[in-house]
Amino acid sequence: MSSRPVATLVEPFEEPERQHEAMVFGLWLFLATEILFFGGFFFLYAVARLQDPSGFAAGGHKANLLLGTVNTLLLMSSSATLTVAERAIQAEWRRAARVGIVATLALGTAFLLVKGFEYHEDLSEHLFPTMPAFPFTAVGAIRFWSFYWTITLVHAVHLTIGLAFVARLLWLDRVGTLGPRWMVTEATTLYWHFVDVVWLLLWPLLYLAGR
Amino acid sequence: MTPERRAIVVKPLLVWAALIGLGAISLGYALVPAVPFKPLLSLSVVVIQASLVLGAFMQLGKASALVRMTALVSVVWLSFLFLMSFADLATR
Repeated sequence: MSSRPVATLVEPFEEPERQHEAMVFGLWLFLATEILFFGGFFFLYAVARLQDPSGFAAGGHKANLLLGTVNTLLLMSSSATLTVAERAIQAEWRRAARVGIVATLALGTAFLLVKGFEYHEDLSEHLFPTMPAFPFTAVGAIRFWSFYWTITLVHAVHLTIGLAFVARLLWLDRVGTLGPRWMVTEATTLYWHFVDVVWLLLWPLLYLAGR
Repeated sequence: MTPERRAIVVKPLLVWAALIGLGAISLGYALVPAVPFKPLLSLSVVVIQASLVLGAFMQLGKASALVRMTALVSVVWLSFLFLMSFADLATR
C-alpha cells in the first residue's frame, strides 16, 4: 500500500522496508515449521484412513457436521474481518480497523464457544476413545476419534494464541500506537490466516469424511 | 466513502464470498449419496480455498522472492515427509 503510516522502528533496523521484509520472512519461517508440524498429523490421518477406510468413515459419520460447518463459516468470516482491519490500519482508517478487530475477536471467541459446545455433545455421546461406552470397536473409528480430539485441541490452542494477539491489537489501538505499529498487525494477520487455512483443511477431513 | 476505502472492505468480502461458495460445493457434493471421488473433490476445493487465502488475504504473490521461496520450501519438505513415510509404509 502506497500511504502506510510511519512505522515504529525497532533495533537493529534503520529503515522500515528492511524491518518489514525481516518481519514477513521471519513470520513465514515460523509458519513453515507450523506447516511441517501439522503435516505430521495429516500423515497420521492419511495412514489411518487408508488402513481401515470403512471403520474410519463410520467414526467420521458421528462428527457433528452442523457445528463443524458453523465454525468454518465463523473462521472464514474472521479472516475477512481481520484483513479489513489490517488494510484499514495501513490506510489510517482507524474506525474501520477497530470494527474489524472487534469483529475478529467476536468471531474467534464464538468459534471456541461452539467448539466447547461440540466437545460437550461429543462427550455426552461417549465419543472419546478411552471411554468405556465408546460406541466403536473398529480400529479406523478409534483412530478417527483420536485424531479428532488431538488435532482440534491443537488447533484450538493455536486459535487461542491468535485471539491473544488480536486482543493485543485492540490494546495498541487504545493506547494510540496501532498506526505506527502496522507491522504487528500484519504479523498477527498472517498467523490468523494460517490458523484459518488449517481449519479449512480440517473441515472436510473431519466432518465430510463419513458422509 | 473514497474508492480506496471501498476497496479495503469490498475486496476481502468478495474473497469471503468465494470461500463460502467453494465450501458449499464441498458440502453439497459430500451430502449426495453414492457419488465417486468425494475426498478428491473436497481436497481440490481446499487447495483452491487455501490459494485464495494465501494470495488475497496473506498476499503471498506480492511478497518478496525470499518469502515466496520460504513458503514453497515448506511445502516441498512436507511432500518429502509424505513421500518417504509412505514409501516406508508401503515396503514393510
